[in-house]
Amino acid sequence: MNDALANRDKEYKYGFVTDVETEKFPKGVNEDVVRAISKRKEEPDFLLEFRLKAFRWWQEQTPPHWAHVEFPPIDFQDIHYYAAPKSMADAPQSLDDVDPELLRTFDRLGVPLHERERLAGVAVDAVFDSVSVGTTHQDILAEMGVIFCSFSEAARKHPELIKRYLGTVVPPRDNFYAALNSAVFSDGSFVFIPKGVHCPIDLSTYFRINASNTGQFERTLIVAEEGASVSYVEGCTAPMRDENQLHAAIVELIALDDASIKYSTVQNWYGGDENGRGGIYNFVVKRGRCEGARSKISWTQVEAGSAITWKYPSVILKGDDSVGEFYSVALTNNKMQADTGTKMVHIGKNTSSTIISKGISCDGSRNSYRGLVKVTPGADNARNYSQCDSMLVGSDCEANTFPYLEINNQSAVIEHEATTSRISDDQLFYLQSRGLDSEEAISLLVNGFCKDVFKTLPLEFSVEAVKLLEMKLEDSVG
Amino acid sequence: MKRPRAITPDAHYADQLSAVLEAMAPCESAGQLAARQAAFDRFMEQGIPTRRVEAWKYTDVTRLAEEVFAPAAPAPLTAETVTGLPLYHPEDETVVFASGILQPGLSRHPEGSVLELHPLHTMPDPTAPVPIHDNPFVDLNHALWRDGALLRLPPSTTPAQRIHVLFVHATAATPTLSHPRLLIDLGEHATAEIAITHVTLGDKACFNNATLDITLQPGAHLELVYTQVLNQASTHLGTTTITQQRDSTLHAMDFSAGSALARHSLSVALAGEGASASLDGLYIVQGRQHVDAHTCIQHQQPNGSSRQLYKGILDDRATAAFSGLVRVHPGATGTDAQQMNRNLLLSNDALANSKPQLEISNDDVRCTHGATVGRLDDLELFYLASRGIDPTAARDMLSRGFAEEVLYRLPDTQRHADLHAILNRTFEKNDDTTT
Repeated sequence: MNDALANRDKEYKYGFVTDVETEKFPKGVNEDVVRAISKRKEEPDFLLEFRLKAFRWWQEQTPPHWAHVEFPPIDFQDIHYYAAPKSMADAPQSLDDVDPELLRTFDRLGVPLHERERLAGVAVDAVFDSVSVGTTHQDILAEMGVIFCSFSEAARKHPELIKRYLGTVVPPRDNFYAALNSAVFSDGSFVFIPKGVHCPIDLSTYFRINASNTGQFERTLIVAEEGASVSYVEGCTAPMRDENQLHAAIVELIALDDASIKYSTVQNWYGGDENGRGGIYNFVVKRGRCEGARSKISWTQVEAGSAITWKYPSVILKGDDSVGEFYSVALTNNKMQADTGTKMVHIGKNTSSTIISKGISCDGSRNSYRGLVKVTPGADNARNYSQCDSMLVGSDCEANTFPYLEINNQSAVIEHEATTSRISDDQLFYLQSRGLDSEEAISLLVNGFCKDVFKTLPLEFSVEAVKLLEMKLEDSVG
Repeated sequence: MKRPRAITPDAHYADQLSAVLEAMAPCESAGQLAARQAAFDRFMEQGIPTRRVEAWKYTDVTRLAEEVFAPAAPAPLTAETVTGLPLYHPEDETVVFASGILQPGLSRHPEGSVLELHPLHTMPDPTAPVPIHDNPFVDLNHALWRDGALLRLPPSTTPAQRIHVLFVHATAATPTLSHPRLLIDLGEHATAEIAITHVTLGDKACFNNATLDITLQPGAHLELVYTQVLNQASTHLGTTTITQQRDSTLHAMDFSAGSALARHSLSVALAGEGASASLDGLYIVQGRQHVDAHTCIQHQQPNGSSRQLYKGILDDRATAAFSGLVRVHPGATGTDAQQMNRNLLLSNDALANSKPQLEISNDDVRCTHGATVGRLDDLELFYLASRGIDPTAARDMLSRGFAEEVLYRLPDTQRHADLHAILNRTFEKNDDTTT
């Protein structure tokens, strides 16, 4: 038994549970729960209205089923919609007041919340279940006028900004899960980069689900004003549990004239065991709008966890000459299922987008790329290049490619190509003849396959991503 | 409230079923009549799909639920009319259908031909192969067909002539509806070249809902040319299902230039080891035409190969959709599949949709697909202009060149010339409107 546990630990080293007293709302969702969440967060009235409207619409909807994934129906009344460590109830004034157990959790995860923060050179907002535990480097950022804080704090301190931008990229009625999130979202990060400011350090949010039977519904909003730029990094883990947990987040990005936002994700939620038991349902709506001319939004994602991943980080290219990018590595093993990709909607003139997607499926997993490139009639000279490669490791996995091209302007130049292959015996034989063992050889080949994406990640993350893939592959191709 | 996924068809479809059942009662077995009723029930149960159904995402056929069609009655067709049709060739072995009814008098069946032609009514229960796509129009066809034929080639035979199946659809003031049904069976190691052509007489609207089921026995080879050149008021829904056994080979040319709304769904099941299919498609649309080229290739057994090249030319306010699925089943190791869709937009109001899809459940495969949409290349136009060619001629030359890549894959020069002639007429019409 101990051996089995030790093995499980090796497979997913972030699978531990932190023993902190948790305050949870009762299971289920209704208007009272929505009101209670809003009240707990001391939100302004408009936000409560926003939540209630979304909730009323959500109640009339049925869950969508079009993705190429299978899972039993979710009982939305069997989830705790709010969970917070009890010690947070008295609202710590600084990091020093935070429960040491919590800080240790983030230390174990390698997230620098305390002293190490200065060395890391990254400002971190750490979210534990439904609340933000602490945000580092706020003072340095404040000097430059950058606002980086938890969403709840932003709702209290900067309601005018929240009111102006919230729900403008992903409206509450966008889809079923967006409506649910809009009604019950708990915490997340808010970033505001004022005119002309280049954010000097990478901003980062670390999401951790700890409590059982809870859903995590965070909300991230990033606004870059004219000429501003920011690089934002997101990481996620959760304990190993046998039940499935729902994570339905919304991320909204807005880039005004000449602004640029780079959003990188390394997602490593618990993906379930080899029999497909447990794991996170990662149903996330991520969308950016290049509002202004010459703005740029770039998504990079390394998807290595979650029992089910269902997300399409998208860019609406509204400003003239705006640029959208999507770089993705999605690795699935065991019984994981991923249906992920992007949407590039060209509206402004001379817009361009690039899509590079690398899917790796191992064991009995299922990995699908689904993407849309849409060129509207007014989007003269739109340019898109898409490349979606799949690699299959093992004979029981599945790799699918579902691109959609909808082109309504003759000046568009749109190219999509996709290939599917496996690691060839020739390649393996060659590397082994040079003295590499089969695991090293495979890891080398996989890294080569994903290089186009890894090189777009911030350096530390790129290293982490490579390690993560190696660790995941270890069990699949050993 | 969300739009429904299907609409209940108008009552006239049920009236047509009663008429068909009554007319067929003397010549069909009780089993056949029951099969019609069952197919009709399935059609009513599914209804007419709306664009919420993934397979119909880019093609709106909901008006077919409300519009009232009269059953097509074969207009008197003379031999002169038939021989004057654009793709007719006197030396072909020709099978003529007028509005879905076989016309033995107008067909040409040379003495000593190896081709067997069986009218479908005389067949004991023509079993309907299960379509790969759930398609209510196939059920509608199986319920309401008035006539059809089974073309069979015995093993190891090769007909001396090309075979041409000509579907002539006469139009009348009231829109007419016909359900042509054709089955083709190539015996082991038989080889044939078969052309299927849909044309209209007159310029009024008609709706034809055709099914074509082809079986290639082991080692058979088929060269298929499917041409749809209906008038610009008509609707063509064609569903072609091909099953290929071991080591059989198929080359298909799928050409679509007519109809206000045309959709050809071509499904190929590589059901035997080592079977290979090569599909070429060309669709040319202008005005307010809409075309939907739908392909589905199922690799079910090892070592199969498939190749697809579909090209589209879109002008004016025309819209086109290509959706192609390559499905590689878990056991189909050694599969090699390629798929390419290219679209040329000649007008700023044209809309091209492309949905090339791969579903792969096996690691021993090589699959690639691609899609492009764009206009004529500025550099190429500049080059031709620099050689003294005026812009209109240069555009024409490059567009034709774009189409010719597909047409040149036809091994038969005669067929090539036929399609080339249609292409020319289309471009001439274009020139008239632009100059």
